[in-house]
Amino acid sequence: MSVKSLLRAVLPARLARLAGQTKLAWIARNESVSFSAYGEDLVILSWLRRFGCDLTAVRYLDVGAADPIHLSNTFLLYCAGARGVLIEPDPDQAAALRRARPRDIVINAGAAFDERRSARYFRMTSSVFNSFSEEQATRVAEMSKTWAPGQRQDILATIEVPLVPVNDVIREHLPGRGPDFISVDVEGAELAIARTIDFTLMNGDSKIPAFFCVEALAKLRDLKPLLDPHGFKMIARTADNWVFRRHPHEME
Amino acid sequence: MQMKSFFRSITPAPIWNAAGAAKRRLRTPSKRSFAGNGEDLLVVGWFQHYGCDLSRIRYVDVGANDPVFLSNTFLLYQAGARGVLVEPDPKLAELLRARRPRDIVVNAGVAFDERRSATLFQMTASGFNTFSKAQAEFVAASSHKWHPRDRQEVVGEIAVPLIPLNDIIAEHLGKDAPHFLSVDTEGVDLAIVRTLDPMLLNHDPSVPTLICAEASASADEFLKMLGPAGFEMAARTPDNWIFRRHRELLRSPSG
Repeated sequence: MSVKSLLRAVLPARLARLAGQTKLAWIARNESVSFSAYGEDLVILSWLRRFGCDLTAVRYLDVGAADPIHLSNTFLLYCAGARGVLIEPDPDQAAALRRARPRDIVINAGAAFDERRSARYFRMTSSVFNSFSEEQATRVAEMSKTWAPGQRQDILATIEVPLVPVNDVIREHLPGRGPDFISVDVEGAELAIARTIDFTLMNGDSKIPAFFCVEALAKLRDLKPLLDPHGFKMIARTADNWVFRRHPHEME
Repeated sequence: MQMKSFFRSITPAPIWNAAGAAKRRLRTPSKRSFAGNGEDLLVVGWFQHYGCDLSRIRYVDVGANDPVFLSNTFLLYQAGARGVLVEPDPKLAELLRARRPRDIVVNAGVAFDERRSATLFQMTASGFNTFSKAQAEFVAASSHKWHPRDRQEVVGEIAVPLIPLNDIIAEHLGKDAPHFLSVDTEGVDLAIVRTLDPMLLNHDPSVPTLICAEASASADEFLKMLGPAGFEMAARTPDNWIFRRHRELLRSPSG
């Protein structure tokens, strides 16, 4: 980091930015790289490429973005020139997202999953275990007592976070065509959040196919009734996620 | 490598260590994929998800082509798995033997009908090699619209033996039933999958079984054959179908 920040200090800002962009563009052009858990991002990028989409026109919405790069479903698209909105309740991670992904809009809030508009958020030792559910937080803390000492989890803090409805975020920050890709990764509330999403707000008549990626804690039989009426078909079940795709004319 | 060890011998250790740390930091936490559209990551992901020892995974790659580039099995090979590579082109088979010494390379085609030998049409780019004259002519004709450096011609015609897939699995893997079957054969994928005896594939319920086949036919046609054997559609990439069988699926088909 020190070499990088030294270089950044001595180089003109525009040159440093250009170097950063060149590196990201190189990563994206090198077709065979993935950041998400099991290659979901690469499958989606491959489909967008196959349809000949202008990748800089692609917009995404990442609900529960967490780390800007590691296990991110949207970083590969960001590298390819796309941008969008990242919803992340943890303030530290939201700050990290703002630093690492300046083109994106970062919303430091949770996605509303019921009628509440704010909720208590339990921050754990490792932020991947952060949760809105006290039960889940105490269970992880309890379970981790048997894990390796370096992996013990404690509830570090409880903070009050606002909850914003996904549809309002889309209307406010992605007006017009709406997102082409929505990723939902929220440790337990994915089905409740998916139920709140108005899929008609996603790209209606464009040539870009629409994608929806959701953690597989939700069952296919619950997701199907939500997505079928909007023309979404399941195209992948990875070890962690369902991926759905919609396109005006199917290439079969 | 020699250059590297020379530098290592003349630079003080702290400098060398700092250089290594800087290099590691520069490396992005990404996963490499060698298949066309991340198919290998999806497949490896399932094995990892169930905590399988990757060095015990066995695969069959029908139409292996290049040992690394666009290979559906190289990522598994790197992780310690091994298996059988079936490749009709003698030059590619030689390349496969050199680059993937742990694998068994069968220099033949897989039988897709009652014939036991056929003419292989070798194209400018070996990825387009095919047993079908019509397919070879179609590729050559349509490539006239492509960029000049991508033009395809039939550069050779050789007779190669065709061996039934079941015989290959039984002979080379025997008791090590394969966990992953990849079929990439420019058009005859469905015909080959139809000849497969699913009993020869993995039966250990703690390890999932995956099949990756080129999407030259619809999922329904593949599932007509694979569905009764317990397989479900797991993914559709721009070029391939991936089917998966696991004991969980046998209990709850809705996943």
